[in-house]
Amino acid sequence: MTVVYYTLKRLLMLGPQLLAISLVTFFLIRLIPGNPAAVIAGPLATPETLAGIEARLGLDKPITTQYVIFLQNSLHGDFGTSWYTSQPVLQDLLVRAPATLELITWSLLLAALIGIPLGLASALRPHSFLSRATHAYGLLGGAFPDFFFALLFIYVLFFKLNLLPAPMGRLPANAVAPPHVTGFYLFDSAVNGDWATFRAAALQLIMPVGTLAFVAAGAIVKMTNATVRDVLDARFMAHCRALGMTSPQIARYALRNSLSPVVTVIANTYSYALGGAVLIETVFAWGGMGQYAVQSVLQADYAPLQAFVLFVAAFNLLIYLAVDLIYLLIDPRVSY
Amino acid sequence: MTDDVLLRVRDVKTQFFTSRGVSSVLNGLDFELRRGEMLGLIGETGSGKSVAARSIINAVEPPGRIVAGKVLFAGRDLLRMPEPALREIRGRDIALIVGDPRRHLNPLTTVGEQVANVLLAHHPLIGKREAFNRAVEMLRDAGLQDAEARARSYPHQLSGGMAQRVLIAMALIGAPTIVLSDDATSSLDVTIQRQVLDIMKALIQKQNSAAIIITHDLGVVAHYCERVALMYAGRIVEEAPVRTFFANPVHPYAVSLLASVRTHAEPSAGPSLAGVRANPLRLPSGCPLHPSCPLAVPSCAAEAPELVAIASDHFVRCPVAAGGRIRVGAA
Repeated sequence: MTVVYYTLKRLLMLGPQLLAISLVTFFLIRLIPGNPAAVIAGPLATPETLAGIEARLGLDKPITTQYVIFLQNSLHGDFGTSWYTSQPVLQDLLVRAPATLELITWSLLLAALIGIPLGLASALRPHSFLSRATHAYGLLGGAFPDFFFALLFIYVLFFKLNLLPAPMGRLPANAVAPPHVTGFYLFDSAVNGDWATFRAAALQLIMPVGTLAFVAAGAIVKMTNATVRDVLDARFMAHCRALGMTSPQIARYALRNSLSPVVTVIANTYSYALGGAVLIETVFAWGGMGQYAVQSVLQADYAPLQAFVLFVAAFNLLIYLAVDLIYLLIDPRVSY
Repeated sequence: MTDDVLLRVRDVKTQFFTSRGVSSVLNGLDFELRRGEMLGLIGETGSGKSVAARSIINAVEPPGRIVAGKVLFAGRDLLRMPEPALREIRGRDIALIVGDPRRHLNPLTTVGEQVANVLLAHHPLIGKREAFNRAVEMLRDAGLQDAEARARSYPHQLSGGMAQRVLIAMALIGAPTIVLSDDATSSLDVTIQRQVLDIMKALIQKQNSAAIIITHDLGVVAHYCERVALMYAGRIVEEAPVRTFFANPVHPYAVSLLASVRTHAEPSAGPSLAGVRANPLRLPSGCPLHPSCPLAVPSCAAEAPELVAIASDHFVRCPVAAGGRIRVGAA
């Protein structure tokens, strides 16, 4: 019951938190050099044209008034129109957010599936070949930028071996997106029973997901390895060995007691990737959130930038709530 | 006579390879444990008592390593046994109880499960439910009140005394032949300490097993143990039946130690060996006590003394004291 109460309290806190973030974002964005009216009008525009555009955008009003208008519109689900794509921002986000979420969710799931067992196994047998290989992988995964691996995968898997389709977005050029249910192509096509599209979308996902997972798993491996080693060094684990507990029992204790920091790393990587996978999205022409945000910054496109920051903030706050609830499940000493 | 001997520890040497050098903690541990007895292993902090317990079950954690010796149990040398066979013996035949329960229990698992898991490690076919039921019974036998409910709590929800009983239950649930109790009762208050030792004593008599009681508490030794062995710098310096030891100690260190316990309020007359610590990184040559021993003769610095029998059941590692049977120190 206290858990339900705690969760509700945290969810209620979302409102004021997002309001504060919107305030800071709104004014910070306007500190970015560049006048949107000038960007829209182009270099040859007359001062009269500029003033006309500014008036149409509401930029001639006092900035506090602009903020109030922005808040009122946002509450009604209207985040404005992108000056660059000429689309309502909400519509842009509804396409791009699922694209990125589908990419990073599969990536992080795969990364956890690779990273946790590898980290655990290498910590349990610290002098084995597997442990040394894992260590090398952790270094490699951390030493190179993610787009390097992306280009490497594209070169080998697409260009040389031609095993996978061209890295040109979420679906091949001749395919049609499945009817919009969630925006996640795998889910939407599966719901529709459209297995051809499902297969095509899955094939497009393999390389970017593989790249992101390969890089993210490096951090997860390292964190799992380090925590499990600490746990194995604890007195109570030595005592378990002294009482003849079996290797599977020891491994279960070790993993369970290492879970909290590992979950934290996964959650951090996940929330970072929402905006931070921009290089991968660019290399694979993914059309995701990161690309959208960078483009908005470059074009002084205020509306999408504001909406993006709010969306990422809300997403992160929900992730951290989930992490806190997972801690509660893992560790009986935690109480809220 | 030899059939009675459950455990033979022969010249066990354990060293710790630290960054500051090699620390020789056990320097030739020798003793025997017989069926049905409780052997008190005493000595000051740093004399190697805990390492002795861990060495017996060949469970010394790095950077420690057993470098020599034999531990003979049921006709086999535990120090030369492959790990899987050792694992079966640990916790089933020879079980360790430690003090400091806060650090020896898994904080994320219920205490009932932790006790049950020891049983499951050695009898996997019992099944989880049955193992848990037996764990509850064992916890009750170890003196944990309201054991059914407590078995479902986590270590941080228990008091130190209650958590200590969990450690005791973990050791006793496998009905071990030998119990190694490493300072396991000193955190309990006196009545509970009695209760727990009574439980151990009853179990030992019932199963005709044996226990080594490692403690600082000479009162516990006097009450519960048949024999006592005193350690100094990783070796036994005197071993005797409890009565003989307390009434008639022979080794100058034993004499000094008992004197300091009896007159702990007043400073004892003359030089005292109690409290003189040997540095395991640089042990003195010969007898490690010779630099401060009032009985020391030149040969003490030259050669390490052997354990000498001065009666059929009384052994002393001091040729000088054993030879003259001289009593020294404040007595």
